[in-house]
Amino acid sequence: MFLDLQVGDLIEPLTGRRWDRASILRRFCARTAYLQKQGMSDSDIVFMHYGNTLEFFVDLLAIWSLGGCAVPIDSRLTTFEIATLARAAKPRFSLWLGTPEEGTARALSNMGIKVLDTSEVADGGLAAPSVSFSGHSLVLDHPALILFTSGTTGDPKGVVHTHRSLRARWVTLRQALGLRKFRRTLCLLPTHFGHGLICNCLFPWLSGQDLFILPPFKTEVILQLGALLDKHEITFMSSVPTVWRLALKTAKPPRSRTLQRVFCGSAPLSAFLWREIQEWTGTGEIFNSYGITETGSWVAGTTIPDFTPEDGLIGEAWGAVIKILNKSDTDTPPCLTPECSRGEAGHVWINTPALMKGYLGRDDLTRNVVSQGWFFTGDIGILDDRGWFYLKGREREEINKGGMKVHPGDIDAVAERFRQSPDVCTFGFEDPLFGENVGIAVVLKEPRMDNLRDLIQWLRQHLGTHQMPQRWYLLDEIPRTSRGKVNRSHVAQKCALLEPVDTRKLSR
Amino acid sequence: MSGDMSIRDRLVRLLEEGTKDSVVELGDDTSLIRSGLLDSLGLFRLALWIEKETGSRLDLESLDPAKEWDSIEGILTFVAKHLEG
Repeated sequence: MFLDLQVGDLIEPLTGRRWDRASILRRFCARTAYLQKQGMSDSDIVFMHYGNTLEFFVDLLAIWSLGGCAVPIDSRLTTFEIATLARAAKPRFSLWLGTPEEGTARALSNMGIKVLDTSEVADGGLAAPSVSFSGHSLVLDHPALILFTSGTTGDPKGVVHTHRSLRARWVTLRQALGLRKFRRTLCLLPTHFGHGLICNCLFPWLSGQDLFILPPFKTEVILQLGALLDKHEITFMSSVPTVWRLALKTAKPPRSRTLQRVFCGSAPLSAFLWREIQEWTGTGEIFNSYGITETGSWVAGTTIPDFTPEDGLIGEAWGAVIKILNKSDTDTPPCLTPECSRGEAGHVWINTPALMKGYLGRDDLTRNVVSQGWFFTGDIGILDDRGWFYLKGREREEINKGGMKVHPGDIDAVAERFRQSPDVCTFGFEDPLFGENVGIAVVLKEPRMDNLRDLIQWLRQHLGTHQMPQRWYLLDEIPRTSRGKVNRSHVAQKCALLEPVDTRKLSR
Repeated sequence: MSGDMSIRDRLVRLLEEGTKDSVVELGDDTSLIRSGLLDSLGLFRLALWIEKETGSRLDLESLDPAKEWDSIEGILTFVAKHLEG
C-alpha cells in the first residue's frame, strides 16, 4: 500500500482533529479488527459513504489490508442512485459514519448488503498496537478501487483500478514531481473521484506526507482559503477552476506564502485565470494538470521550463506516453495509425502503466476505449514543435460542471421515467462560475405548470443536487436530425434564445 | 426594466435567482452565507453584481464576505459605503 512504508499525519482543519502516525496505526488496527469481525474478507466490495474524513482514509487501508475493494460513494447521491450503483457493483458491505437514512439503509439491506455504522468503532485505546499496516492478503492485480464516473441513474460506469495500477500512478508521479513540495498537502476536492482521491490525497499521504482534509466545495471554506493556507502552512494543493473563480473574488490571499506548488485540473484553465491564481497564491508554480479517472488521474502537467500561461497548455506527460492520432475508434491498433503532425489537432491517446483494469462488468465499454494498452481519452489535443501537450476540446458528451462530470443521458433517463414519459434533452450551458452548468428542454404531453413542478420534484428525488438542471425550458418539440437523433448542442442553441422557466414561482 | 428598479429590488431579484430552489422569503436580515442559503454560484454572482454596482474591483485585503454580505441589509450598506468612497 505504501511507497515509503508509512503514512503522513491526517488533519481536519475545520474540526481541529489530528491523527498522527501512531494514532492512525492504532485506529487502523481497531477498525480492521472490527471489519474482520463483521465478516469482511478477501475480494469483498465495500461501499464507503463518508469521504473527506479522517475515518475514510483509515478505513480505506483497513479494507485493503483485508483484501477488499473500496468504492467511495458521493454523499450527495439519492437512495435511488445508491441502489443503482449497488445493483452494478454488488457490494457485501456499505459503510457509514453515523446512521444512514432509513430508506437508504432498507434498500441496501433488501439487496443483502450489510450496512454498518463505523462510528461505533472504538479508537483503539492507548495501548501500542500489536500489528502493523502490512496487509496479509494484498494481491497486486486484485481490484482495489472502483470509481463510478457516470450512470448513477441507470447504467453505471465503474472504473476499476488494481493495486498495481494505483501503485504505478504514485511511483511515476513521484519520479516526475518529487515529494518535497507535497510536505503539507491540502485537499478540498471530493474523495469519490480520481483527481481528489488518487492524486491529491493518496499520492502524498501514502508517501509519508501530511494531508489536510476539508469538506469538498464548501463556500465557507473557500471564503477562508487564504487564512487556512497560512494557519496550516500548506505547501501544496490541487483544485479546479471553479474554486479559484470564487476564491479570487471573495477570499483574502495568504500572507505567509507557504504554497510552493498548486495544481488546477479537471476543467479548462484560461490563461487569464492562471495568471490571477499565480498572483493570489504568490507562486509561479501553478500547474495545469491533466488526468482522467481511467488513467489514475494526473498524467500530464506544466512541469516545463519558463512557461507562460496559455489557454489549453498542459505541458509534458508524467508516467505516460501521449499520442495525437487521427482515429477515434479501437478497431485498428493505434500503432498502425499515423500520428498527427506537430501542431495538428487530433484525438488524444494515452499509454500508461496506471491504466484501469477496465469498466466494472462492462467489457464492451472497455473495448471501446482501450486498444493494445492504449487509452482513447475522447479529448482533442495537439503536440507542438517542442512536444508540449495542449488540450483543444473534447468529443465526450458530458457536462463539466466545475470539474464534476454530469452525464446528460443520466438525467434524460430519469426524466423519461416520469409519468407520461416526457420528451427531454439535457444539455450544458455556459456558466460564469462552474464553466458549464446543466440545462434541460422538456416537452410535456400536457404542458401545465403543475406537471412541470411535479417533474422537477421527481428529478429532485432521483438525482444528486449537483446533477439537477438549473435552467428549464418548455418546448413544443425537441429538435431532431433527419435520422431522428437529438443533437444536444443544437437544443442548447435553441434554448439560449428563450427565457427559462422561473422555477422559483413553481415551488411557491 | 432593470434600470427602473431600485438597487434593493435588483439585489433581491439577484438573490432570489441564486436561491431559486428555496421557498425561504428573503427579509432584510435573513442570513444568506452563514445559513448556507446562498450557494457558491450565488455568492460568485453576488460578488460580480457588487463590482458592477460599485464600479470597482473588490479589495480582498479588507473584505469579509461572511460578515459583510450575510444579509440584504449588510450588502446594501457595503455597496453604499463603497459608492460614497
